[in-house]
Amino acid sequence: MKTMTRIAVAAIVLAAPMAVAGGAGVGDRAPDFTLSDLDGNDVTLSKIEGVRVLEWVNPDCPFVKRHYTAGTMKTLAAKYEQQGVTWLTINSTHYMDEAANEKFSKANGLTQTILMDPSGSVGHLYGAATTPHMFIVDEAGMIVYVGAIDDDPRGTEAEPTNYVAKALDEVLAGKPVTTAETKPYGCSVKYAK
Amino acid sequence: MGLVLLAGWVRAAEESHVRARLVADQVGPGLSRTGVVGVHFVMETGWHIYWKNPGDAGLATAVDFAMPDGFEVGELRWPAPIAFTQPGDLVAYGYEGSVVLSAEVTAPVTWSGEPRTLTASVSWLACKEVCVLGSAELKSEWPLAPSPDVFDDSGSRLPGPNGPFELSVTGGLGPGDRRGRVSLWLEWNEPPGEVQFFPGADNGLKITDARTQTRGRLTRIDFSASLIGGGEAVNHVPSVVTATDAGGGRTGWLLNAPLRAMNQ
Repeated sequence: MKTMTRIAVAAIVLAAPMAVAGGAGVGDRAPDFTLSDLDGNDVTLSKIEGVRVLEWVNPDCPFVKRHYTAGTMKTLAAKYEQQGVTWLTINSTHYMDEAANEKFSKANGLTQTILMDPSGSVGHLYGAATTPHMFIVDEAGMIVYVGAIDDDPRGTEAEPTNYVAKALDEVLAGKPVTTAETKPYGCSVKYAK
Repeated sequence: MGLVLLAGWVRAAEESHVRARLVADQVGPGLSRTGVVGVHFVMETGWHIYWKNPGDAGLATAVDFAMPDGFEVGELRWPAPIAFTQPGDLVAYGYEGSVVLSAEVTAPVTWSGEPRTLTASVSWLACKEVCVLGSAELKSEWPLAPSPDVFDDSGSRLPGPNGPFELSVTGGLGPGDRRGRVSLWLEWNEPPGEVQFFPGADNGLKITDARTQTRGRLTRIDFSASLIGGGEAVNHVPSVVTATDAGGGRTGWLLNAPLRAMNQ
């Protein structure tokens, strides 16, 4: 019986799992990319100095709407920009063109850079699954945080812990990030089929 | 956003695409002290809500029952979910059509049968092409007239405790590992048909890239596990496995999936 089982076990050899869902993780070098911003400029990750925040966004997603109504991202982007952090908001929603992104930016009075990725190629490169989904890249180009914006998926906590702010404070102080990975929450990124 | 309505369907908002109402089962006659209370969700065609582990994206449906002092309400019971694969290879776990999320109710011995207020705070994320958050405050009186039909619905059956298979594990996380790829092997008593695996939720753990393959009586389930919390070691992930036979009949079982090879 044992032998039979072993033979059967050996007979099931799965194709190597594709690394689609894995994406980029903590401790990995941040994959480089170039995307166009709303002014038509090419923005290349590796050409930006200092700490960089990548935020996946979809203006139609209720989790994103809640955070933009509350000003979560805008406030953090402005606060940390003063400390040399570049905040890149990436939209991999397949059906959103430049006009849709501009409308979103204007409606929310945003100052951070919005990058358009309707093909989803950069989203896939990082394994972005949700909106929002946050990544922090340190000065050396290494990924030091991946996950949720905070610990409050339902928006019901009086004082949520903002994981991104906490991680940025630690990175800027030259300390290791204590909570480097969390489970992101939100809508699925609406990728092109 | 929440609405209160006595004993009936509640739709949080016209665009929420989900209706919810309180239902009951196994409520005995007379002064029976035990029963089952549930929230019956009905989704519009094409819309789904989420399991306790929403998967790569989404949000777990939340049901919080409240009853007067002395009444005990057990843990929320989740029927086996189905999987939704979205563009980008994102996999979500949830329910479409209709589902009942339920809990056991035990009345105190002092209860003499008079009606008592039962409430449920419910919130969900419903998605189709887009996602919409919904919530409702449901209110009724216990005991509720039983409606076993909605509990018997195939999508609302609870996973059983012991599946007809033997479990073994290869690979997995070694001592001190933060991540690894786990292979579960299920040797079934009979060829099981189509097998699906649904890894449970744990705040300290991320499960991705689960793949399932069945040949004959043997199912191999592979998944990647990463410990993402800073806390204690996680050794198991409470999961569900389902088997669907050629006639479309689907049965689910709880599977407390080990993350480490058994001989470690």
